[in-house]
Amino acid sequence: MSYDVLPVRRLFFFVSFILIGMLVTPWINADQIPKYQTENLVEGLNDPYAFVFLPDGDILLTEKTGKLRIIRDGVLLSQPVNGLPEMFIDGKYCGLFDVVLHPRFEENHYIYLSFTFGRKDANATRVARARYVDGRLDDVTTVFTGFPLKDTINGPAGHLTFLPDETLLITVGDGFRYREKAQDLESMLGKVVRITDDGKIPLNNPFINKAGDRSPVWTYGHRISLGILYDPVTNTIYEHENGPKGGDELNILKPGKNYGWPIATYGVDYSGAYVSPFQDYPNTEKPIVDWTPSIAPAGITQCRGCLWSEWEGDLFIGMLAGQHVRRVRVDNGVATHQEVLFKEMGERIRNVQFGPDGALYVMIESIGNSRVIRIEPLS
Amino acid sequence: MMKIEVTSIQILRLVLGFMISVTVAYITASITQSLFVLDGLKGVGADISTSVYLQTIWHDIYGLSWGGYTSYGRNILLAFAVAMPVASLVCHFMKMPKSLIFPLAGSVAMATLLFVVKVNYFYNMDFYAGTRSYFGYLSQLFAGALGGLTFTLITRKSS
Repeated sequence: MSYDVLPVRRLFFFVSFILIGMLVTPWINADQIPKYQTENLVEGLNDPYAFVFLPDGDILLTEKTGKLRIIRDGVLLSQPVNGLPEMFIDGKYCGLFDVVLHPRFEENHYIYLSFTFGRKDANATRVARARYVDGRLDDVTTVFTGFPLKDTINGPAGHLTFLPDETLLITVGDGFRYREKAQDLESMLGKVVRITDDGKIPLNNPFINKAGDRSPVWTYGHRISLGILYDPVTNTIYEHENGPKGGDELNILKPGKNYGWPIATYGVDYSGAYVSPFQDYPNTEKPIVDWTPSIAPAGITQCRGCLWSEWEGDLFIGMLAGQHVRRVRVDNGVATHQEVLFKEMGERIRNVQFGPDGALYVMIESIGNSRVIRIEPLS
Repeated sequence: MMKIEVTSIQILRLVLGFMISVTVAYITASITQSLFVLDGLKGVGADISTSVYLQTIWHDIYGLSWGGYTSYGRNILLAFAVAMPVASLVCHFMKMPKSLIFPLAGSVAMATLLFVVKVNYFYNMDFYAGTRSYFGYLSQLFAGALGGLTFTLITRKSS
C-alpha cells in the first residue's frame, strides 16, 4: 500500500511547489522592476575616472588620459581645462585620477587633483592644488608626492577626501609588486596619508618616522583603495579597497590603525596561491564588509538628503567587475544591510556621486561608450 | 615480439618520466613560491608557525594547479611538453650529455613560462608572487632543472 501512496504524495508536493512558485515569481519580479529612471548626462568620455559638482552647477570630470573636462548645463565642453600639472600617463593604470574641492572653494577656488607623476620605471602618486578660475588652473602647487618612487604602473589609487579640519586624506596604492611595503611606515605605498590643505604634515598625525619627524601616514596596511568618504553626521571615514582574487573590503578608518594587507586578507593571489594564510591577524582591523569573490569597488558616495529618503545615510559604492551599485547600510559601525542596484544596466561602474539635486550620478566605464548617467526615483 | 615489448616499456618509461618530472617541477616550484611569499610576510612582522608553513604549502599546491590559462600546474606541463622533446633532439643530434641538457631545458621552460604569463596575462607584472625577488625567480628555474633532472634519471637506459 505504501508503494502506491508515496508517488502520489510526491506528485502532490511537486505540483504544489510548482504552483506556489508560479504564484510567487511574479511578485518577486514585480519587486525587482527598477523604480527609477535614468538619463544620459554626457557621453563620449575617454577613460573617465572621477567628477565633482561645483557650486555654480558645473561639473568637473577627470579622464585618466590626463584631461579635466567641464560639464555645463548637461553638455560636455569640448575644450578641457588648461594648466594641468605634468603627469605620467601610461594608457592603462596611470594618469589623472580624483578631483575634489577645497571645503572653502567658494572663497579660495582651490581644487585638488591626484595623478601619477614620474615615468614608467620611477613613478608615484602625486596630489596638486590649483586655483580653478574661468576654466583654467592657476597657481598649481604640489602638496603631496608618494615615496619611494616605484617601477610598477599598477595600483596607484589616489582618491581624496577632506576632513572637517581641512586636512586632506589621500589613498596611495601598494604598488602591486611591493605589497609588503603596505606594512612599512617609512614607505607611502599601501597607506592613507593625511596632509594639511597646503601640503604640510599635521602635528596630530599618529606616527613619527625614523628621522624623528611627523609622518604623513594616517592608516596603513591597504592594498588599492579606489574610494574614501567622510560622513560628517556620524564623523566616520569609510574607505573601500580592491583585493586580488576576493578580499575586496569596506573599512572604517581610524588614525594609526593597521588594516592588515598583506598579512591579513580574505583574498588569495590571482595565481590561486595564498597572499597570506591569515584572514585576520592580531592588531589589524577587520573590514566591516568583505566581498569575496571580488566585485572591484570603485567610488563611494552617501545619501544625505538625496531623492531616496528611505536610503538616508546609506553608502553607495560603484562596482567595476560586479557591474552594479552596491547600497550598504551601516549602523554603529556594523554593515547591517546590502542591496545590489542597477545590475540590469550591465555596465562597469567607475564612480558614483549624489548631486546637489539629490539624484545619483553614475560614471560608466565602457569601451567606446563611457558616460555619466543621472538616476532619480520614479515619482 | 620482443622488439615491440621493449618499445612499449620505453614509451611507458617516457610517459611516466615526463609525468613525474612535471610533478617534481610543479611541487618544487609551488613549495618555493610559498616559502618566498611567507618569507615576505615574516619580513614585515608576521609570526609564521611550522603548521602555518605546512598549511600554506598544501593550500598552494592545490591552489596553483587551477585557474585556466594561468594555472601553474597546467603551464608547467605545457612548457615541459615542449622543452623535453626539444632537449631530446638536442642530445641526439649534438651528442650532448642528457644530465646537462634536460635540467637546462627544464630551467629554460620555467623562464619562458614565467615570461609569457607575465607579458601576456598580467601587464608585465610577476604573476606568481614568489618570483618577485631575484632568488624567488631563481628558485623557479631550479624547480625546472630538478624536473629536467628527474626526467633524465627515469628515462636513462639501464646498462
